[in-house]
Amino acid sequence: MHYLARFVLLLETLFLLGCSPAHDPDTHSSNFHDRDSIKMPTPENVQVKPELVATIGNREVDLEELDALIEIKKFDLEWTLYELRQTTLTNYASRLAKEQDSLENNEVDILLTPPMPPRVLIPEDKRYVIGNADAPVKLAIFCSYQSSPCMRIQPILAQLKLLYENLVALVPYDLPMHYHRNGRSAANAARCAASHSLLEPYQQGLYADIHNLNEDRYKQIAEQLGVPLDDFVRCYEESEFDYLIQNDIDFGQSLNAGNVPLIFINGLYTKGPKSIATYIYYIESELKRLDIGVKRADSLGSTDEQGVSELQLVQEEQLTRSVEKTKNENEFPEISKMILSREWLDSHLLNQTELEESFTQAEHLVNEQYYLMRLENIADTDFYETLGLKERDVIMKVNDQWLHSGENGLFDALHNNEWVSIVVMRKGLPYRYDFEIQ
Amino acid sequence: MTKIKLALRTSLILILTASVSQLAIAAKGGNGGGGNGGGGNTSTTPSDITVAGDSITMGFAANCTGNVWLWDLACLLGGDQPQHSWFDGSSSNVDSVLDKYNNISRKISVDGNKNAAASGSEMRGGNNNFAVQAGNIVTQSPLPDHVEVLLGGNDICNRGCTDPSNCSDPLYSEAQWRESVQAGLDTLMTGLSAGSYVQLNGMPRVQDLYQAGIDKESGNGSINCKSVWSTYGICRVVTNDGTMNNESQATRLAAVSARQQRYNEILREEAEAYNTNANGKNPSGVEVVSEYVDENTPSGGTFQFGENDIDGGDCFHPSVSGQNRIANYEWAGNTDK
Repeated sequence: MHYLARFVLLLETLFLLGCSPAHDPDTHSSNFHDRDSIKMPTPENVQVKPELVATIGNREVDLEELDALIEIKKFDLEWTLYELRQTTLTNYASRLAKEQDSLENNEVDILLTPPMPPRVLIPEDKRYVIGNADAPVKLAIFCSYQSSPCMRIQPILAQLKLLYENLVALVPYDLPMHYHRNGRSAANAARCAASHSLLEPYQQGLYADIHNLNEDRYKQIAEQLGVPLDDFVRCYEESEFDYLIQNDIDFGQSLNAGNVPLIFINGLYTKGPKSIATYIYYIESELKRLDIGVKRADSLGSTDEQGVSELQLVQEEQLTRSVEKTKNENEFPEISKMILSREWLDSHLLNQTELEESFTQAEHLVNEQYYLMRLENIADTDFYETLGLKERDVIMKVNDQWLHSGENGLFDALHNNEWVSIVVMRKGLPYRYDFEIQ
Repeated sequence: MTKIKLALRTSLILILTASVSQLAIAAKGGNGGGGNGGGGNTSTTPSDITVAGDSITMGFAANCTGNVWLWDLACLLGGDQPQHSWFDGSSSNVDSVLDKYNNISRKISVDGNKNAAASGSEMRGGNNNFAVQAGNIVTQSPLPDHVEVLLGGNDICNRGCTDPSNCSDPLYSEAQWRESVQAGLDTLMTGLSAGSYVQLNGMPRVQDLYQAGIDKESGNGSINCKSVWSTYGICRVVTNDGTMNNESQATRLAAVSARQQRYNEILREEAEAYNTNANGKNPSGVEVVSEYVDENTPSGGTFQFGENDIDGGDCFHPSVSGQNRIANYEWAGNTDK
């Protein structure tokens, strides 16, 4: 059974990565590229007149004109079809493999590739870019700071950045949905931080707790990152960059593409959170189109074809681990990552004795001798709030060590480590906070 | 010539009334029957099923067996156990709704996801309530053609009292609950394809948790429900056996019980209103079904949790056995099969 599971996972990876050498969007003959060829007629098809679909008086409307109006929605349908084929093929191939009893003796050659998305012209301006501003592949990321899918996609984006280093840059755009009540104010705050070249850590602070977006929180994140508070507050209260946010919203809405995240890879449209393999596929299609050799970070592969092969293995391993983890282990439901400034932290740790007083013994006895510890009366304590901790949180673990009435390693960890992980129980649910201290 | 023009006009109307999402269903070969507006006699299972839910759906702590030893608490810290979900749990210890579908549908596998669901979600409050989850569901690709809803436990557990005069966060009123049910259904009605199916599952009887926990810890040295409820602040409106916000536990349990029943009746009423399109909000004929019938008919809303139906970690969430029972109730109330 194990080989079969691995085979299915490998198939999923191959769908996106290894089916054939990263195909050339300009030469592929899928339906999408038929559409491309309509945009740039070749001598062979220039004679073909698009199908007429309506006449309005003397005005004629042909299929090409009609499809141009629904280009994004049309691709969504193509993607739906692709996913259906992918799922069916996964099931079908695994069944065939099972019937043939031994995968090792059968060569599997998967030829199904994802459709190439329409390329949207993204407005360029002097906005903040995360990574190399001259990178050949730019990911325009339309997100809202109150969006759970946008929060969940952050680790994938960080991984892509690591994977491709200078070849890929992330370019954030603001698209708060109408039901994200605090999405726009958070975007304003982030823009203010960006004006101090601190967008990336500020974004991490916002995404660390998307359920806690308010002015106090915006100030706390800014302050601990070292943004001059007066300037930040003025910028935020005057909504200094709101018109730029509106420009992004106007553009995002004009696409009529629906929910965030929307990510455009050199303009290639992708909707909703996709697997990292999907983004890799499109990034490498772009690199190939631009005739740039694929060079990933050393930890994940080498170059060109060998790199693809190694990456397949990495992906397969990751997918296998992920599935096994889902089956055999439990995961924390929510993980927040945040950058803390050492200066801010040390200044607060001067009051350690006072901070320790917020720990109160809870009722639950563990290992027959220790009580769990709960944070109380922290409402006015800037320190804990900035970390994202809340009144009556029970601190369970710090850097994987249990915390209880017999052992409280929180402050030692904050003093001495560059990475600190805190696990708390809040209203019966576990949360993990990871801090990188710089 | 005249006939041709008429035919063209008819085609035009048909094209204009077909939504993109309908085309999506056509593209994926999904079913067209089942809905009251579907009109087809074909009896096929759905292609893609999904759910709006909370920690019950996420299988939270389902296999945790104790809480007085740190190694046992590690299980609780693990949180969600999607493999033990009543909806699509992959574990062989749970016969989930998805498993049941794939057991009856041998030719084409049914795909399931619970991507919109999250632990802590409410029907009304918070950032991932029914309306938000419904918004996520209708943007899924492929578009689901079968949606189940199991929400409500947190709507009660996150409240501080039952009488609005006693605290600032009392139980949601019937009107508030109804409004939130409608908010989610409105989104589903406009976003799902004609012939899709929505099942409103009865909200569970949280009022039984206290007694189930007391029974569970009794004589079991590895479990202390009362202190874990108190330490973590778990559903205090029913688990606090003292006076809370000037209300005794007996008062709170009685009020919660009455409100839980009304919430389920409202689910039934709203299902009827949408299914018949009596409210004019379901013109495309999405089938909307209430799993809850009444207090005398077994359902997820009348099922009384016992000690074996809750886990030993937080004495609150369904155990693996409880997840199986929920799956059985929701399946029994499912008319889309």
